[in-house]
Amino acid sequence: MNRSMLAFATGALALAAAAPAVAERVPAPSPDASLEETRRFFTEDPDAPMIAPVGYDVTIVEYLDYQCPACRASHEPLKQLLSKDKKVRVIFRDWPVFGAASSKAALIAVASKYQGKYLAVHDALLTTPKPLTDAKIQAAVKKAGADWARIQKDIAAHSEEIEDLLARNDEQAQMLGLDGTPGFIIGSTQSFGGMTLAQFEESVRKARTEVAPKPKGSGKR
Amino acid sequence: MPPRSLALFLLALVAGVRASAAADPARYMTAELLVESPAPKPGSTVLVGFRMTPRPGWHGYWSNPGDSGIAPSVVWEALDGVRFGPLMHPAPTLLTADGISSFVHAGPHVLLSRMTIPRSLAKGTPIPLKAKLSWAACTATQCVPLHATFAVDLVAGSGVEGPDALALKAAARKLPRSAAPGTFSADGKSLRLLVPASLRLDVRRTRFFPDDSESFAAGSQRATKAAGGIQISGSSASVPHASISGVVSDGRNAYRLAFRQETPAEAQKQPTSAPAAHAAPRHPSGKRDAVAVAPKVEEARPSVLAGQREWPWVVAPAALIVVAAGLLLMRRRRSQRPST
Repeated sequence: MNRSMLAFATGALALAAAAPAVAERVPAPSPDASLEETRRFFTEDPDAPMIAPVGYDVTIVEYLDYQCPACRASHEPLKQLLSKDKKVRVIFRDWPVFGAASSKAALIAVASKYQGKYLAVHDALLTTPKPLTDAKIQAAVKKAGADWARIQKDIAAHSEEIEDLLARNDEQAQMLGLDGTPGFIIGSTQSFGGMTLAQFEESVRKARTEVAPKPKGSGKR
Repeated sequence: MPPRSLALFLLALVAGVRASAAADPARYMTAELLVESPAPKPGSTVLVGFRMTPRPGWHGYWSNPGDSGIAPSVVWEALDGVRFGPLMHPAPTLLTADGISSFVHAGPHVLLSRMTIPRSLAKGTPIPLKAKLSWAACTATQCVPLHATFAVDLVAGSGVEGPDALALKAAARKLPRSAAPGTFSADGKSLRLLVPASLRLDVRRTRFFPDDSESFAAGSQRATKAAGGIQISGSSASVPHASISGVVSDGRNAYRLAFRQETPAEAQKQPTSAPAAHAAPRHPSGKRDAVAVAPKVEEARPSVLAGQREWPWVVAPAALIVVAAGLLLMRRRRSQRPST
């Protein structure tokens, strides 16, 4: 628990230290797009919060809702994976599907990225007791060491960017045929449902053996 | 959940079945609107509700879902003056997975509400009724948001019962019964609830389901026999509340009650017991079938947890290519987010 928490916090630092995104978003692929082009549509998004270690060779994209029990159950195994495997990039796509409280939590989480606190807030929201109320969301933000007033300012200042990101996440989840959460893309394979540490490790191992070329991460994202 | 075939995946995208994020309840948990009377009598209150039928391995949530999960919610639409009570649930069962305690309905169940027809309505007046229900179906590894809109045309009448009346009345009998308040004592965040002995619950299977997990933590609790009833030890997430309400159930009988903090005099009169002092609890009612009737809680759990180690369905890598086939179609139709 503590080790993976530490790894997660380290990831947060890496994210905070990352240079402003220079990469362009990848447009929706055409019907005859290659597997690699299609994959990049889901993974290359400068606005999506992520943990991107230097030299990563596998990317996990997670579609999640802060109120979904299975998302909560997968949170710890994913953190353990990241503490054991330093070459995995994770992209978090907030996809609030369980009502108003979930939408609020996703908005707060995404807005916290502007102060470099996404991962801490994400972690706090996934571990806070349910049901998520405004008071509990605010308490989670405080626990994560993020500035609530700054989040409110960033929501106002970046409303279009945040809305677009959440709409994009929603659109992608539907393209993937996801009925619910959590959903994952690991390498070029998609799945619906939470995973244990062993299942994450197996999926990552398979992704590394895929024939499709994977871009080497620079750690600058 | 069985793997989805690639063909189905492609078909769904091309045919545009997925016009919105709404999943098909038939695959997870169906809901059906039930009304006690197609011709409710003006001035009367009748039962309405939803028959919820989860697929094996899937569960729905109680009014307080516990540490995780999402309670069902409904928006009723009817003539002005027609009033609806809150959704009423049968007692839940406990589902614990990965340290997360949820209060669930693991099998088919009925959610009830009471609809009151205004006295002023003339007989023969049409009462179009609409209900928008949102609920969640989950396994240990997957959670699906579900939505459905129901419409039925009622007419103010004599109150004659319809075909759903029997099921609704049976569900009403299964609702936790109201019971006189119990007391609780607090020591910091430690709480001890005293369930009155008059409720005759089986101490071995008694569990408290709080309306609010802040007042009484959803996780570990312990029921032991005590002077005056059954003592349930647990903890609160924050400072003790003045009153704690919820449902106590032994899987067979369930009661809705509130606990108020005991006065110092009561505390002296009913010293809380050490569990060891009452190590051999006997069912207070003395009914011989008390042991034989296993509560649904225990039966339901293995099936719910059975899917936990299952590998989630995985679509072959080629699926991502397939996705592209539906892209142009999907992009034209920016989806609406489901609402609660």
